Amino acid sequence: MTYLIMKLYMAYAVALDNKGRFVKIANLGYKLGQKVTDVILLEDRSTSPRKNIIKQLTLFAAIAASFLIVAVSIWQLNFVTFGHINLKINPEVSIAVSRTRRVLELEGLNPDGVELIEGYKFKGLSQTKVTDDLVDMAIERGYLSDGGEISVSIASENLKWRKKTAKILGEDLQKHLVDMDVSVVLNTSYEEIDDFEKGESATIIIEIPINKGSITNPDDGDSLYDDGDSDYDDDGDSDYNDNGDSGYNDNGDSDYDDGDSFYNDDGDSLYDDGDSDYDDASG
Amino acid sequence: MQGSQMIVQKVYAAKKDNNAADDLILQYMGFIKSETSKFTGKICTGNEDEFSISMFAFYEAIVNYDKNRGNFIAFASTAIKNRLIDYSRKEKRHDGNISIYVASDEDSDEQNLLDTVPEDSNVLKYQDQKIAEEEILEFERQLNSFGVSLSDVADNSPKQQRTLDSCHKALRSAYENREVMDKFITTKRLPLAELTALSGVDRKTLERHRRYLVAILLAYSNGYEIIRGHLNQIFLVKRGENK
Repeated sequence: MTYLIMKLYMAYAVALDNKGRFVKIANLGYKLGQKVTDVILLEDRSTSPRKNIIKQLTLFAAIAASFLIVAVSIWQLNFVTFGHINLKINPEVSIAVSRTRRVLELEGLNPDGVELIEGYKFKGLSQTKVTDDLVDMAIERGYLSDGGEISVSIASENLKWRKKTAKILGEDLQKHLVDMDVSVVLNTSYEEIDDFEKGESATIIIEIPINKGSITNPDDGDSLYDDGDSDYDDDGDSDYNDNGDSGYNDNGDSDYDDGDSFYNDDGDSLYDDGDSDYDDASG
Repeated sequence: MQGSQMIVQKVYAAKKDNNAADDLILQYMGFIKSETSKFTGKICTGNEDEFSISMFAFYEAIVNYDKNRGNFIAFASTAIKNRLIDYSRKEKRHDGNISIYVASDEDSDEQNLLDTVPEDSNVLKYQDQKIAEEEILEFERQLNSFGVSLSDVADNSPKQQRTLDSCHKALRSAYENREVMDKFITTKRLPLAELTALSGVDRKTLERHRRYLVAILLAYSNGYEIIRGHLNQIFLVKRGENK
């Protein structure tokens, strides 16, 4: 680009480039009418009031959009139903939970279920707190006792979430029912098109050794730990040891060594009563 | 506090008025020299290129200053420093270059590189320079009679290529219409209505760049061969395209 020097000022010069633009350049001792090629152009970063308003509006719109995205994300994580947990003791209750496992809705699926949840304030509570409370209420009202069974179904379109939820629930119930002989059966519904058709369900056994209760699923023998995706490593936090409480020994009472044998509890042997059946006939 | 408000007022006045800008530069000449000396590590006499760069940077600071950006002097000091850094980097890149005044042949000290440059190069001979100077001064006088200064024209010149093309389209349509050119010269006003009708360019665009349009149209009105020669490609090339 060639510049024709048109006017000289103290601090700058006005030049005409050969594309027809008049520009302000640094005056490095130029002369009027001189043609130069290598110039230092003035950088005009000042903006008109109109441009300033547009800039401010753009900034405001960007902030508002960011805020909206964050708000929507938080709302989706906490207030949109991501899955359902069906708790079946005898009272049957459906629990709608968010992705972050906050309870959003409770619904009694049979008359006992409706009665069980009546007056219970669950809004904003975690799923473990609600399931624990429902189990306690079921025990109080005589629905659940030793030898009973809790059937838990977990449904969601997200397999990973479902597995994680099952694990959390299983461990929580194991801890909560440590003094009772209750078995927990976990069912997780598959709705992934890849593996199963939507609505089809499968059952999963979670083998978590507990004191008296057991958590099993009798149907397909498919372990949660065999799908190539380990649930233990995705949060970097071991779920088994974070409370420092082992499920095996916290009551000091072993299941196998309670000192009470079926065969010897009356001190009377069936075989050695000292009385022969054959001698009576001879007399 | 009052002193800093005074400076801000002067800076804002200098943004609009070249004389006010010159006054402010004169007032802060000591500061500009001191900033230059700080950078070069030598006493600033006022003849160095670095001093010219510092004055230019000070003027640039006036143009770009916003009172919400804080103290003007600190702002100007940073602007000067940044420009001097850029300049010294640029100069370093040219360190390996040979001056055109160096002898072209080591055995002969009669002929230097400048003498080997062809006649039609950008370096004008003294006579040509004088003719160009006179033409430009006359052009400026005529332009002032339209109420427009060259500094105004530089401020009013389109920055975006699309706007520049629109302005050139309007200018071409006026240049090709004798009546419009005559009306422009006699009334000393830009015939905006005719330009809009002939070129189809939005009137607001033309109004926004009125002073620029006046300057270019004046250059094509009569004489001004050196300026026109410099701008030749604007009209002659595109004229062919229109037909």
